[in-house]
Amino acid sequence: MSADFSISDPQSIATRGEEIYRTKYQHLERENTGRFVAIDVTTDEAYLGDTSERALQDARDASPEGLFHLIQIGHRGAYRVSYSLSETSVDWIFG
Amino acid sequence: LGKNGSPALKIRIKGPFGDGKEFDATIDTGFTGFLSIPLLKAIPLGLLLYGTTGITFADGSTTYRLTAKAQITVENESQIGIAILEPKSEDVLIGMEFLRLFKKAFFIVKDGVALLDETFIEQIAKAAQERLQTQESGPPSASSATHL
Repeated sequence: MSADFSISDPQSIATRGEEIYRTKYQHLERENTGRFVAIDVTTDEAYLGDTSERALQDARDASPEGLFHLIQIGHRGAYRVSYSLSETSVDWIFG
Repeated sequence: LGKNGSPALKIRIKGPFGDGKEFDATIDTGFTGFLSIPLLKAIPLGLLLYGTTGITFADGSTTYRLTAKAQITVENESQIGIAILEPKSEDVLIGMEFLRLFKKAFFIVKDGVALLDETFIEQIAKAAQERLQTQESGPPSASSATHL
């Protein structure tokens, strides 16, 4: 267990997930670009999938209490949206 | 079409418990995910939280959002996918992942939206291809018949 995380502090989950990815799993980019990886920030374990729902479901099955940060390998975000940051206030409403 | 003229669809969203709730969802082909739902609308549904993910905006900037497991039902078909929980937005959006999971193609017509099965589209495309090939290798023209 790396640290305690709370769903009320999603920024810390995301930051930790990105950090684990950079230090332990960035090598996946060599052969898995476009696939998805769900990183359990409570254990540092990673779960690969061809789709985002596959990666997260496998992660949940393996670690029912886990908290997962989802990354699309080789991409800045796992999803793209059609609107821009300025069109909506996007600050976390928690903490 | 929805109130703002965008293509919209009536969907039911539910979590692991209860019957869920019906929403008018906007079909957004610029959104690569399954479902984007305002956080305050998601909480009463009891969606099971997964954690977080990064999303990239149209201007190239990236931020993070909470994710949850959600089931969408359209008429009598249901699929489970990942919901992105938007902290401030008021719109429920469905994106390309929704179309992929439901195996649907959608067409916008003058005053509505048609969702069609991908297999139906493939059958039409195949029939059109066969018809084209039949026309190309059709009966000989009058001039070629005379020549023979």
